Amino acid sequence: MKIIKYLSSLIITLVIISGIAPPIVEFPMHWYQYPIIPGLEDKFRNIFFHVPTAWVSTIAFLVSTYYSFKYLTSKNDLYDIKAESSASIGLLFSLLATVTGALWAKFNWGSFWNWDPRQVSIVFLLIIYFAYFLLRSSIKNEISKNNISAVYNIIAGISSIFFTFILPRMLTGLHPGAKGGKDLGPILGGSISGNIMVTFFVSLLGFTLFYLWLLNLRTRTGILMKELKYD
Amino acid sequence: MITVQADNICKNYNRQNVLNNISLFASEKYSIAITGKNGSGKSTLIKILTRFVTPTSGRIFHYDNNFLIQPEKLNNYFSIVAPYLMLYEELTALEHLRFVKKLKKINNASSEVELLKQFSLFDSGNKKVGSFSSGMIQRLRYCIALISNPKILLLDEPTSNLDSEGEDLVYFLMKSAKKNNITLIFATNHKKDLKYADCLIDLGEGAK
Amino acid sequence: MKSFFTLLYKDLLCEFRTKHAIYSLLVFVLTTVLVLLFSILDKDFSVELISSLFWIVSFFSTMTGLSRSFVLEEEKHTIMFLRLQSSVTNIYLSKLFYTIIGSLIINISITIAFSLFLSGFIIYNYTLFALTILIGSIALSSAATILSAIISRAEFKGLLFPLLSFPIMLPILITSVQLTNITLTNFTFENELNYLQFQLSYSTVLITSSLMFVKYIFEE
Repeated sequence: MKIIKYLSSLIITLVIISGIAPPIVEFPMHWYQYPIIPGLEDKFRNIFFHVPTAWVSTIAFLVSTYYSFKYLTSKNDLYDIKAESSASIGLLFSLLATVTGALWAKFNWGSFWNWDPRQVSIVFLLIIYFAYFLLRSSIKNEISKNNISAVYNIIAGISSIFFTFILPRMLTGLHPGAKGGKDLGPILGGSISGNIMVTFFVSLLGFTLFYLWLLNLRTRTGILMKELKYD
Repeated sequence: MITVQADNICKNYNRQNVLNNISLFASEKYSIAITGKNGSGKSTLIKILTRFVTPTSGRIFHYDNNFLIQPEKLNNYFSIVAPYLMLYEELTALEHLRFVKKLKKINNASSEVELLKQFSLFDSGNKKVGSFSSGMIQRLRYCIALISNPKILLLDEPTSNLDSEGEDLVYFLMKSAKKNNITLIFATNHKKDLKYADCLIDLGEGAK
Repeated sequence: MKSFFTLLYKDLLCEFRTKHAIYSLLVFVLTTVLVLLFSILDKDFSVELISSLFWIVSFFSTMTGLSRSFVLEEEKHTIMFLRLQSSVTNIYLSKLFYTIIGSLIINISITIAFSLFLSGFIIYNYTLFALTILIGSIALSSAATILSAIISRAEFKGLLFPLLSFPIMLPILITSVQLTNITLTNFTFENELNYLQFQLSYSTVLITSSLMFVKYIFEE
């Protein structure tokens, strides 16, 4: 885990530097120059931070649902701790994704909030996991609490798959990949220069490693809390 | 032959120990009484024996002629009478009995009218349970428990809320359990009840 | 299968005896529609607004009335009696159908109230509207039933239910509103099948997972 901890901090530091420092020019001549993306210009740098946070929040919730499933089939308390830890990290990252997204939306689409299907879906994730933690705190019997919150997590996971992956593609929206929008966005569309791609995917990797480290940390504290009979 | 076997049952509620290492073995024509102070875990033990509550550790087995009874079929073997077993206020006594008869799908079920007569509830058969007194509800619980001709009968505080006539009915039932090949397990704090038991489990103060 | 019908019959009989849920639901629907009418008088409503209102009323009445299915059993402590006679899966199925019946009654009465009082509420595509109501009711009920089971075991039920059910029901509400939009306008769209498929697959997945996991909710 130590390696992941240091590696993730190193990668994220590199991503911050390589996301902000390189100049944007019309015709890039060198590897350290980014090309102009029409309509985005300097604002595109947010792609290295906004997309990975949204990515991690989705991953965290899917992992949480997976561990809830594991808990119900095995009745091992460790999986319940892991599910709860992953959900709490997911909650943090979905807050970050909402904030970075709102900032980007202000400068690109004109206002912080546009009721775009994907904006709604991240708020949707936020509500689900607020509800998840509220549900956990409102059941006294520990076995019932673990079981019931696991069932809710699975139901919520199913619902968020439908809501975040299927529904935004059926409704018209501003994000790339929405219904009626022809372009798939700068990343999936493949219309982007190599150095941006490299930074982007390195950033995804860095944030994912960071998530893994956080999950490990939260799980260990969760186990300790349980042993010390804290709630 | 029906047997109930419990091995080293422990139960914790939120890390608080309620039952500690209880084992018991019950079989046909053999009745067990569970006693102990309030809060010693009598009801919890009864619920564990019906698989309503899963023990933290230890195992429960129900056998029918040395074949293990599947948990989903267990409902057809036992009945329970307990003060926390609530009935529907909107339904009548007869409707309750017919409802249970239909759900349990038992071929040789007793007649609901006979049972109501036995527990002197026949006149109230078509009244809603909402208008019943607590003693009448306890009598109806016995009717419901007996309609499926259970092989295992679990009673929690068997004589609670009953008048002396009702108590006599229950004692008669407990006495005839052996004759009718019923495995009887009951939790009580009344000294009077204990003479119907072949074996006594005293939980004492409970696990602390 | 027979025990499923027995359980459903018991639920309907209890409801018929008290008529508690059905009266409160009808009063709820009627008051909402009347409040709407008083606040707008003769101003025209857009189609989008009408179909949103339709499903908002439907969502809140489903929550106030039908969420009670499992909660009532738990509050009156009768769930133990039920579980002694039948399996949790059977109880779940009967509650699901009870909720679907209730949800259909709600949606039909909203339709009647809207067409009586709202002049802008004109249905052009009757088949699609009937399908929207039917599939929407099934989808809403599949979410409401499992949530009712979850909530019944928790404290602060009144606060938890809207918060827990909103995200689970939102995908259904959004697609239902889109479908209702289509039925209220004279144009033809090619999307309606997509939305119906979405709702059907969503409720199928919800019901199957509920059947798989509902037994864990009652474990102690």
